[in-house]
Amino acid sequence: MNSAVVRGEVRLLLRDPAVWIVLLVLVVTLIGAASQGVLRQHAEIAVLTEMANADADRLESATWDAIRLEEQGGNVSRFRDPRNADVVGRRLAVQHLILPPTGLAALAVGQSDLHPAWHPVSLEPRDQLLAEGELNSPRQLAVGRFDVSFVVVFVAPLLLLGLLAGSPARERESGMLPLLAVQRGQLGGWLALRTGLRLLIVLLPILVVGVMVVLLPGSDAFEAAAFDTLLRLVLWAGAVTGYLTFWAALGAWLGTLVRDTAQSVLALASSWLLLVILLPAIANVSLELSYPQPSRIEYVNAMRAATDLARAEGSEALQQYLEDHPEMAGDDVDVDDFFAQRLLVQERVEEALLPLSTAFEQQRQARARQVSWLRWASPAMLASAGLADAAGTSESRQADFLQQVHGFHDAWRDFFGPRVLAGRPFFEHDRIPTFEYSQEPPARLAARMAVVMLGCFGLSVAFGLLALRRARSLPKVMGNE
Amino acid sequence: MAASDAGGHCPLELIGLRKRFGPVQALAGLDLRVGAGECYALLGPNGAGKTTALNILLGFLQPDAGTARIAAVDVQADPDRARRNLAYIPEQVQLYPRLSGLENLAYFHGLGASEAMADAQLRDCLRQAGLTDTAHDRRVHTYSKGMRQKVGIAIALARRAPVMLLDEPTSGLDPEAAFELNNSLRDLAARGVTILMATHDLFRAREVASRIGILVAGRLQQEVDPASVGGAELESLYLAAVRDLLGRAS
Amino acid sequence: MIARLVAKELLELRRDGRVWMLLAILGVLAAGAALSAWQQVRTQHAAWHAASAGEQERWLAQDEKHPHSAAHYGVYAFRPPGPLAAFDPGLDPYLPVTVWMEAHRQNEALYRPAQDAGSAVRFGRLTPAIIVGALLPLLIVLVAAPAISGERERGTLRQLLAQGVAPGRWVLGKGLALATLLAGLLLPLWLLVAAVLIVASAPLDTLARWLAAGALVALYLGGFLLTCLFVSACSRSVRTALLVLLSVWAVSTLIAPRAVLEWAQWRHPTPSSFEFRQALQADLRDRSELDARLARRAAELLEAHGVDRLEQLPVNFDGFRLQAAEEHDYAVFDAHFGRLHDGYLAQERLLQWFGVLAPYLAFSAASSGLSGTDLLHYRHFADSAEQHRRVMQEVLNEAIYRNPEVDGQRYLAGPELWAIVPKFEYSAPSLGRVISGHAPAFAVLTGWLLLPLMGLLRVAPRLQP
Repeated sequence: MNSAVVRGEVRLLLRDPAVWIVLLVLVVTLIGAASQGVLRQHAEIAVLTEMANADADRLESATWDAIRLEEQGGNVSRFRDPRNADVVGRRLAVQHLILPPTGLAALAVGQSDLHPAWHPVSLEPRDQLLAEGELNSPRQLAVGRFDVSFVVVFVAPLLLLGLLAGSPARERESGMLPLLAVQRGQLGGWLALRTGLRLLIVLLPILVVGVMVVLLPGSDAFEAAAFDTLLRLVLWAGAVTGYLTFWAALGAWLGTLVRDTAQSVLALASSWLLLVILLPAIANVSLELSYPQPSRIEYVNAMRAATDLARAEGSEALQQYLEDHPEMAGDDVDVDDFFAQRLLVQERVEEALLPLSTAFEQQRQARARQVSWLRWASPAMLASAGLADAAGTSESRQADFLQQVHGFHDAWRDFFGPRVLAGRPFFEHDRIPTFEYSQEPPARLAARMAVVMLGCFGLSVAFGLLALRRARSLPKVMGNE
Repeated sequence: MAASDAGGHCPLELIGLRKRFGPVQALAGLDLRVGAGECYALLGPNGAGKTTALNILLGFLQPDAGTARIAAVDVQADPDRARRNLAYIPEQVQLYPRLSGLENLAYFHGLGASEAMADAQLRDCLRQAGLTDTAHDRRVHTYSKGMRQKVGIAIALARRAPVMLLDEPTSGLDPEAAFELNNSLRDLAARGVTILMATHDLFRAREVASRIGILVAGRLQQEVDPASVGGAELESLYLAAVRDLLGRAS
Repeated sequence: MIARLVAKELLELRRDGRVWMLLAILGVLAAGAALSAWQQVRTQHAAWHAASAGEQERWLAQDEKHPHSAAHYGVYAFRPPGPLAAFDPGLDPYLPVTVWMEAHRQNEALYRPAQDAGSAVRFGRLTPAIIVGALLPLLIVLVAAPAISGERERGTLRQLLAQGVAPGRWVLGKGLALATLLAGLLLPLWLLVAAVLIVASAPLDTLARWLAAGALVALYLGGFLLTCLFVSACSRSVRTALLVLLSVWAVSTLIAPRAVLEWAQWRHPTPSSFEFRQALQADLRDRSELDARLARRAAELLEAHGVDRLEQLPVNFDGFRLQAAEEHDYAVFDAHFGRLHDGYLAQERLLQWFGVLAPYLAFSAASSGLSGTDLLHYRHFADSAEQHRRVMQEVLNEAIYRNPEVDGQRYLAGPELWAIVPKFEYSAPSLGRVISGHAPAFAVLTGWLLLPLMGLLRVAPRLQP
């Protein structure tokens, strides 16, 4: 293949109005998606920062108040006393554990809109704390966000196929194919060149926008480690390239199978529909039918039944404090004992709940494993999961974070529990456990992404080879019809 | 020369037709009258205006000036009524590939007629058009081009219209089929049908037409009586007309 | 003649292997989607039924305890599946399944099912409503795009017109044939479901909703069919018609919903949970008015009964205190949650109006509305639960108020009090309310029907070969 041919192909592309239309649509959607992502990321970081600051401020003023009260004395209700371990552990020192967004969070919403990037930890019942979440509009959750991932997974293949439509069917219709074949002998290289150029038209803007979004100044408020960001960016770019290469190879192969442009449009559109809409839908439906998700209603029902006894006992124990109003219960009530009793009741209820919540969590995880197989139903699902993974908004990072939250919660209980039960004044504000999110080892992420890329590139190679084989006999096949 | 009706109208009349497409003058004042039972062949090179004239007669195009009348109905004023008196065979008869020849005929006929025809009558038409009985019920996508053309003729026959328009009717037909078509046309003419065919096949035109007009650059350059000229003579007349005009133009 | 036209078109469609293949694929998908949706609704319904009964049973079976302990024991209100949730689960997976009705707290809405579903599930949802709203239009595009443009491209249109057929009637025949095909597919299914509903003695409201859903589908698909015919009538080639209509489809069902929602989110932003709670807590903490009210009431009571300590009153002032605190919170809760939900609903309305650009938006809003699986229904449920919570608190606090301590013994209530608290019964809003809430969607879809119809009425009689 000499440079004259390449120049010729480029010239043909530049003079094709379809190319400019595709570029326009792609750039407009990319800019829309990227700015949505950047704004969203900024807003999220702002909220998380504010959250962390509010926690820190509250704890700091509690610390000073405790010292001041101790040194200067003063009257304060036991329910607001910063020297009361229960008050500190339940309210004043509440910590919002934060899952820091990665440097690529602007590129994919993933599952981050469904699971909050924070969890409060305090002495309050654990299930109550975990149930707190974002208020995202249910409609938006159902429909999905207009993010760069969406453009890559749904729109870009459509545009790429639009560019590939009619190649080489148009050459055949116009009778140019035999001429080309006579000139070149074999059409494999020619087909690869024109497919590759079209792939670049779609791929390059996406990669450029991706890199720009990540490197945009001001998105590193959370000090995402530069190495982590770089690694994720490389993996993300690899997944995008793999996914779109797959579509290009598939498009080229389908192009060699059809007879005319109308058929080519139909075949490419059908392949998109099949892989992006129908196969995921079929996979989902069959999963729902064979492996229904655990029912939260049943869980709540079982939870109530299982904790009924513990609650009844708790009510009895807390009777003397009017449940949670020792301040109304009369002057002879020992308020410190109330805090201890409440904690014990809570622990008993949670203990009763534990087998149930563990079983439910196991059910959830078993299902999550089944669901993770689903992504192999279609490259689109594979890529979508991979892009979210690279951006750190996948379910697995969330689950890993939740594990850390649970661990920290235990540490919190271990720290405050004995101190509440002891009922002594609390001055260890500086020894309260603090949370440090530990990043997933890069090798694990890289391994997961490697699987995604392997899948996409493997399919690309397979369809590419098929296309080349067809291309070899292209003029013959076409000529016979 | 053309036989006209009581009102002095010929079944097919073109009067001073003009049509321009951008810089191209497709018709430059075409006058033509074809009487009942006449078969008129419009000869001309590509781009002479044959198809434009047919399109105006079919009501698909508005002329810039002039009038086209079918059975005394002004095509431009009432194209629907004009078409009711018209049968048409295009250069390439297009049919629905998933229907059989008979079903296609029944459908097309049904569209134009107020009453459906019985199967037997339809089959008669197909036979008249030269389609053998075994082919009647086969799906059209198995037909050769000649067979499709025959169904087109059958459609035209079944219409029993007083005027018939043909656009390059023999193009792509094998000699035998072309011969049969000519026979059918002669039969129709004998039954009083007015036929206008646009063609550039001089020999077939001479065989079937009762008059031949040579159309060049949107104007009728010459009219010839085929009975009075031989094939070679007709060809030289035609070439002379075309060259003369094109020579003048360049 | 129209009948002949329709018959021929249907014969051709019947002999088209591709149509059969498409129908087969669609049929399998529809069966799977319907089965899965039905199974989900059935399990959900069973769980809802069991859990609601369980809650009521547990409530009534409480031991003797102080009414405020019972108020904290609380009751879970479970959201029943919408009347037509098996047709369109709509927002169901993204709406909390239960509200905990406890003392001092409003709207402890918990657990969106999607959180337990796994990530891949969000990718390719398939429900009967999505089949009707997104996939059937695609079938219509594939079948109807070539309807007129194909005949033009092939040259048959030229012959047809030469045959003297009135083009308007011919187009009408095309439209009727395609409509017959669609009706032949959908009407039996619709009737079947209607029959099942009748046999299962479903409530009249559900039947009326099913009727309305049928009308909605007819309106939407009718509009789509007319749009396809209009574009087909205006296109020189099948390829053009296909490209235009596939683009319309992709924009309407794929791009517009997400893009419009971003816009809606920008216009009516949802606060972050943190901001929301901060603001809520700040307002709840402001108790100056409450304290003043309590002091006023205490003074009144002391004076009326001629005693100087609250403990000497023949009533339990705690009951008043608790109730007053609840009532103080009501206004705060109402304001904050009201704003939140108003924001959601404003987004929904915007979405419906954007149906002008993308009819799928209007369809999905209206269909989830009729199915009882949209925000309107969720808010109705949450409001009902809150109303119930308030009644419950009032009954319990009233009991405390009426029963002062006797000889230092605190009042303990028993089953007779638990039984006074009514059972939480929820029924979805009436069809009239649903339709008026989705008036923009219906208006927009009517527009989508009329506009291409007008276009066709203009274009069809002057159809050019």
